[in-house]
Amino acid sequence: MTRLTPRVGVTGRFAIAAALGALTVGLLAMFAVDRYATAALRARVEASDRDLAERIAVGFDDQILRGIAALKREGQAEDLLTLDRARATPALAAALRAPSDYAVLTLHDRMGRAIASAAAGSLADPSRLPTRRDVVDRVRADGSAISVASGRVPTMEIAVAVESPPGTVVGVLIAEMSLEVVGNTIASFRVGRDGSASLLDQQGATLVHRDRGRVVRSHHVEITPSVASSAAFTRIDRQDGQEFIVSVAPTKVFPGAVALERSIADATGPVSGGRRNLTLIVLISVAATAVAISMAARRVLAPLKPLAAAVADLGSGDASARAPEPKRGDEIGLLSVQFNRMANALEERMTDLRGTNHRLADAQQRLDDAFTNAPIGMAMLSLDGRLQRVNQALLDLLGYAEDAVLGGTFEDVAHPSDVGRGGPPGGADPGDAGSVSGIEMRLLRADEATVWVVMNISIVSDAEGAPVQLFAQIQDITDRKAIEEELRRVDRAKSEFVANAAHELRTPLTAVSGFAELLNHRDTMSAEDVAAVCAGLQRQGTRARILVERMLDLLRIESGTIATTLQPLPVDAVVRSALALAPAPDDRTVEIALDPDLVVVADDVALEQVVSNLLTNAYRYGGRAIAIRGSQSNGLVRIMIEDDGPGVSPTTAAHLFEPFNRGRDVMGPGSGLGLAIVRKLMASMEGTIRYEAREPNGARFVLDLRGHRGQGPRG
Amino acid sequence: MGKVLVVDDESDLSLMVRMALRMAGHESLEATSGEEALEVLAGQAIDAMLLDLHLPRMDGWEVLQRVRADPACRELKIIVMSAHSSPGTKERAAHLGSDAYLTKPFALEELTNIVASALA
Repeated sequence: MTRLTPRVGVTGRFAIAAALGALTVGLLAMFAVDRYATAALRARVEASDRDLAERIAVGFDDQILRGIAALKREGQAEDLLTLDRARATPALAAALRAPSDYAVLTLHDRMGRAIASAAAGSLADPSRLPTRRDVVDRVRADGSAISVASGRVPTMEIAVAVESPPGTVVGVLIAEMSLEVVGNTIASFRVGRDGSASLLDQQGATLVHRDRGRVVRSHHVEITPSVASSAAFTRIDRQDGQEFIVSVAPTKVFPGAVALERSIADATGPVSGGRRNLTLIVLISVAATAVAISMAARRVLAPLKPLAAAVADLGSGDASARAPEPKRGDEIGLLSVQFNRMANALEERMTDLRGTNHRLADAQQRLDDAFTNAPIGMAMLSLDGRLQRVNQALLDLLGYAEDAVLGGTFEDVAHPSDVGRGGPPGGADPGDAGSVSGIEMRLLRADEATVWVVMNISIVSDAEGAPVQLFAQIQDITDRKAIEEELRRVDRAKSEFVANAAHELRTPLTAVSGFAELLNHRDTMSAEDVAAVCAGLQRQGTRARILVERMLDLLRIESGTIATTLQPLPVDAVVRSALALAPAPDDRTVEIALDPDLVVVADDVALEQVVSNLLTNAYRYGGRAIAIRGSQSNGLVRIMIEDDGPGVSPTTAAHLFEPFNRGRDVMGPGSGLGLAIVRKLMASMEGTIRYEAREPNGARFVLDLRGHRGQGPRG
Repeated sequence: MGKVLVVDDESDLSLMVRMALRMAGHESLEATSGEEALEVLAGQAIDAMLLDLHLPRMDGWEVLQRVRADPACRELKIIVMSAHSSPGTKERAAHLGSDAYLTKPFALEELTNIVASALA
């Protein structure tokens, strides 16, 4: 998530920009003011110095005049020259060269006060020389040197050319520097300690420091004609570290020049002060500008904050987020309005989408439910046949838990004989057109039981039609298969029955048709023969009829068209009426041994038929003595019909109650259906019949039927 | 014309066949079981035997085999009778040495013809 609070906001940027702008403006102003101030100051200093130089020059001239006048008064300056400037210089020079000449030098400060004076002349008497309080030899940074006299130096200095005749001692003040202005130039000559002098060039002034005649340093000052009337500044750094401005101005009265020295500190003092003030002003204005700009910016940008908040809210899903609509119509206000319109449209769309999503989720849910709750097994498989999703019906069908099945294939649970019949359509190639339906195969359940299923597999494609999954429906058809099998069996049985029946009919019909045909020749037959034929016809016809009747009986019982009414019946009575239906032949005896109170729940007609059939069977296949016994226990009535005949072999006994099974070891014209009918009749009365061998020999048929409750449990 | 032994456990059928045979001029004897048939064959000279396959205890197949195994009965013509008409049964009968096959139900004429041709 990107930071939503800017590190340096618009306000900040504006403030910084404004501050930088103000700073730039301020610095430029300072620079300009500085230069202007310096220039103004310089001009002012120049002007004042010029003025001062003038005054000093005048004063100096004045003093020199007075000095000279004093000298004159004292009678020492007889041959002082007049102060005619035009001739002054050579005259002065000449006068100063005179061996007996002397000059009085006076140093004045700005105020015109004499600072020091010196006299030059023959110094036969050194004690007449004025003394200096202090003489400082200064070597200027530019190489010039000036001897200064006075403790108040360095406010002002005057350099004067002095020449002393050879041999004279020029007191302790040695003006090592001299400037002489000749006309518009300066000419100078020098007097050294050793009395040597030199003449400088006339184009400028070279300040030369000599020591014992050797030039130690020199500094040249250009003096132009215009300078003669103005002051020329030279900046000079003195040995004691102070800075000075030297200006040279010509004296008016006396040919010479006045050099003014002024401390830079003094001169620039006001400028520094001014500069400091200016710096302060600039800083304050920068700060004020920054503050003003940032306040303005903040005001302008204020509506952006709620707009940003609204955007953030909208972004995190709150469709109702809106920005406050501004009163004024600037760009930010417009942005807020546009944002709100966009938010409105978005909200609408979101509501639509939500609705669609709900419907989709709904549909998906219903589909899922349909899948999960479907009554037949369903599965989603990958294209290579792996189970990805199964429903409960399929799990129930297979008897596995879900996690045992997912990831596997149908082949894993297929019956070994049916492996390969299931699986994805067309093997692993999903490109095969379409689905497979109606595959019948067996699957093995978890409990090893087999289920028959019919499987339909279809291909699920995506929107572009590419196959993505397989959908399988699996239906348990075990019951249907069982029914089909049963139907087949019943069909077979029916066919067999029909075949057997037809087969059984062949013999009597052969006899009937044969006898009938024989009767065609009755004319050639004896009466006994004819009688025998007729009797045979009758017998076989009856036999055929009975056979058909019994078959129909069997069918009727099976199809349930014979109604049985179960009611309590006295066993004794039923047995006796059955005996009446099937009376014993002469060579047989039938013994009835049962409790006369024995009551059974049965159908009277059916039970009668059962007993009579069994009696007939006994007469046909059994022995001489036949017995009918009855008993009851635990609500069950048991009737037994037994004989002492040959009985039935075990192999025959196994199929005894099946239709048409007379067995190989019995003879006779029975229909072969008697016992089958008996079994069906017993079943229709909810009873059972079974055969058991009688010891030592004979057959016993055991009938079990429901007893009547009224007799009590012990019976 | 010939002495014919009728072997069938169904007495009415046996009666009918015997009467038909008599009418056709043959002498007929009857046996109701395989054992009885063998007894008769052992005791008399029989020209032809009508043998029902479906007999109690010893069935017709066994009788057929025994008779054919007996060198004394080499000349005996055996006509097998049966309700089965499947080719398998007929083939088996022929394979075991029967001379003719009669499928029930048959017309009397068919019976007499077969017997006549067998005795011829």
